[in-house]
Amino acid sequence: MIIAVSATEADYNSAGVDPRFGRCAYFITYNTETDEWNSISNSAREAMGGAAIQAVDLLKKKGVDIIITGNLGPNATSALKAAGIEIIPGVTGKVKDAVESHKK
Amino acid sequence: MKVAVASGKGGTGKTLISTALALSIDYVRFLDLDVEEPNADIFLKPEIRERIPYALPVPNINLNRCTYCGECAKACEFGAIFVGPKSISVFEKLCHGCASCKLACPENAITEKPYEIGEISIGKKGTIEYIQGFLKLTEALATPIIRHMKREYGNVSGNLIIDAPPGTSCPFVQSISDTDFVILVTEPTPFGLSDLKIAVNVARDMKLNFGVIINRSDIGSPKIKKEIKENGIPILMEIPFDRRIAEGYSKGIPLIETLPDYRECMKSLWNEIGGRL
Repeated sequence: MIIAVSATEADYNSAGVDPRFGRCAYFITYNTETDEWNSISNSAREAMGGAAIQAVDLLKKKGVDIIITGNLGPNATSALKAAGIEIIPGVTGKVKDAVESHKK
Repeated sequence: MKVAVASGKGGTGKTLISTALALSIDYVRFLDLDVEEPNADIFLKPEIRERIPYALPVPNINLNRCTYCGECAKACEFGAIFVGPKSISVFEKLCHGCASCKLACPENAITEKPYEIGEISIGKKGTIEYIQGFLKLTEALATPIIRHMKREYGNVSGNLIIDAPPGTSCPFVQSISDTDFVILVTEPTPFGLSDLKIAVNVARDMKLNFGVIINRSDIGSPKIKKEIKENGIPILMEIPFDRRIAEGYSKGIPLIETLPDYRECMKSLWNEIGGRL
């Protein structure tokens, strides 16, 4: 299972949870099977419009199962649902802690 | 002659000026293109005789043909389509109606359907023909309706006055394009000047004739007037602050009724603009 977190920076050790979903700086992913961390620069951040939807597309391509983030709009929510990605919203603090507490 | 009244910064007096101009000259078509908040009708008081819904063509997906290949989403510049493993969602509010998705679809699964985003009202008051664009609440795309109104109602041989939306982005550009002259209304505040400079750059880029009206010209910073002059921006008129103008405006009373002297000022402004062309 792959957990993604919207993150303020690329380094999973120091990154905080970015409160924005579609226009967050990075997505940090954690693979629960391989214990692997990865970071993806959010290319959708610079989108003129529909950033959230392009961000969901990015997550879908990376095979993400769960997204941990701060705030989501209605477009992001329905796109994530369509992609079958589980949403854990309203999370603040460090990316690492957020992943640890949602691992199980 | 086609004249747009625009500003950059909001609340500087576009509608105050555009309605005063319209009421001072005879036989004019007035386009209210401030579609997110059209309000010139409050001052012109037209009788509306026709309301036409305005819709954008948005994709209609034939699910019997769709293979969820995602080509449409890839073609969309605006992220308006999301393709899941076994589902497809269209976000109408993001769609610009460009039909790229339809062209990109290898299965011919996309047709277009109308999606109503606004309304155009047509009315008359005396010799003023009033046409208002209105963008529905929660809709984000002002430019398509403005573009449509310019095409449909903007080509007149007589006089045309456009009340443009604030800002200096696409709706502003679309509103002032193909006009003979742009009146930029500003005020002597740092924000007024900052936005004016952007608006002036846009107008210069678009190779449009323009001039500035300074509203509430006697309050705020006198430095700003100096800077306007130094930038080679022609000042067409200065309107000193007068509480009666604000009081009248708040009650829907046009400038030329509150202070009738402005009728002649507006007439000569119109003639002066004509002379500049």
